[in-house]
Amino acid sequence: MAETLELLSIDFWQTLMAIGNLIILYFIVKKFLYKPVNEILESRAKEVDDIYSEAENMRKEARTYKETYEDKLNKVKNETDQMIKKATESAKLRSEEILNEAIAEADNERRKAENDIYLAKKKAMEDLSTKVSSMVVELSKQIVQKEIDLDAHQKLIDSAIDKLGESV
Amino acid sequence: MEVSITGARVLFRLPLGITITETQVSMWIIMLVIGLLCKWLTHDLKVKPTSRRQVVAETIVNTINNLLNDVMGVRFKDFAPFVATLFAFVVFSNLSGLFGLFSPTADLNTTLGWAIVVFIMILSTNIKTNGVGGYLKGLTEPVVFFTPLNVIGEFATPVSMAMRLFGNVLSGSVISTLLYAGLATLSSFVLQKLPGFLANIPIFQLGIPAILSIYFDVFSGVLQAFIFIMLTMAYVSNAASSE
Amino acid sequence: MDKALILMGCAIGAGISMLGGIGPGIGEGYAVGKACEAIGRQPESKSDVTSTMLLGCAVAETTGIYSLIIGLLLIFVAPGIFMGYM
Repeated sequence: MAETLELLSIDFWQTLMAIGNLIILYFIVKKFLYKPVNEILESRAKEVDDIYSEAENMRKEARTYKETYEDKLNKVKNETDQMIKKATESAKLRSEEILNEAIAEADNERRKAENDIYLAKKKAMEDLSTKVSSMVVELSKQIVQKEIDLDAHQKLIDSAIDKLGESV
Repeated sequence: MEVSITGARVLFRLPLGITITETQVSMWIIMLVIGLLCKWLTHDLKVKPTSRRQVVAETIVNTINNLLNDVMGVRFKDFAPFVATLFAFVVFSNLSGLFGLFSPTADLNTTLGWAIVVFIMILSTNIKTNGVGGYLKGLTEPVVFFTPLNVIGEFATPVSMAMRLFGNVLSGSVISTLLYAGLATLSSFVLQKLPGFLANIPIFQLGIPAILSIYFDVFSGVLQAFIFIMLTMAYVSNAASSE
Repeated sequence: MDKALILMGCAIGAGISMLGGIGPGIGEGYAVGKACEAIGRQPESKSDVTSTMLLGCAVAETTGIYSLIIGLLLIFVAPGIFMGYM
């Protein structure tokens, strides 16, 4: 039977060795388990953070893009609206102008026509009056001549009628 | 049939009264195993875990960290490696009996040493929090008359921690030994009429001690390790909360 | 004869000291029963209750461990000491 310790014995060196072993093992575990695992966990956390911040950046970018596009779209819309408005206005203006011109022209034409008609009427009246007077003179002359020259009567009438026909 | 329940065997003696016993050898083996296990678990870690090893390593670290967070709070984050070391050492020591090694925790010197380390931690945390004066003043509360009791209570902490672990492990091994001896006696009594070596067949020692060993070595061992670290964390965090 | 008397006294003392195991037994049984009640009432807090119960059991067990240590001392250490005086 080999030499053994008492079941309940306290030995200073043994206790010290137990403490020393615990401390050594502490450093072993710290160095070989905790340090690498913590490094990995940290780098993973960092990576996750990076991914998150990247996603955040991308979202921000997307938002700015969206805003720009919306701005642009609004601008374009406004421009088109304005253009349409302008075009409508100018078209309206132009159509009014055209209408006014047309009305004025028509007025002019009418006035001109009325004038013409009036002038023609006047002329015709004047013509008629001169002709009637001359006819009366002629007729009276002829009546007078007839009494004088019967033979020439027929000739005169014919010529008068001819002349009348010519003048009318 | 001789039943002997003794402490660790002395392997050789060095000068200055240093004795190298089975306890030391077991401890060195356990330290080597834990060190190699840590090295193996973490030998090529990647940010994206590809091996089951890495998952195991991370789970261990995270479990200890979470436990520490729950019991002690965030400010004791640097305490985690110590708790992990203590837990691993106690568990492996308690389980080493299964592999035929002498269980270092069945030696009072070992558990006393660890309990002294824990006691120093409690003391230093207390002094760091309250200062030396605050700590000494805390001993005289609630009245000066209680000072001896408080001092005894202070020293009872490491003693009870050491004794708890030692007592649990040792009682397991004592009961196992006694049962084994009893079963041996029983089987030799039953088989005594058989001729020759047949009388020495250990029929009863086959199954029953295994069941007992599962309770005492595995269940009780892990439970006591858990309780040891829980008590450590509880005492230290209690010491850190100023009174 | 004296040796036998010392051993007898130590063995009887160890047996009596193990009566200290009654206290933790009752106490821990009560604590576990209460913990079971608590888990029954609030199954979601099972892990908290269990760890607290284990811690409390460990502390309650201290007296039992002390009596075990006394018993072990009486059986394995005390006879040697007492016989040394003879």
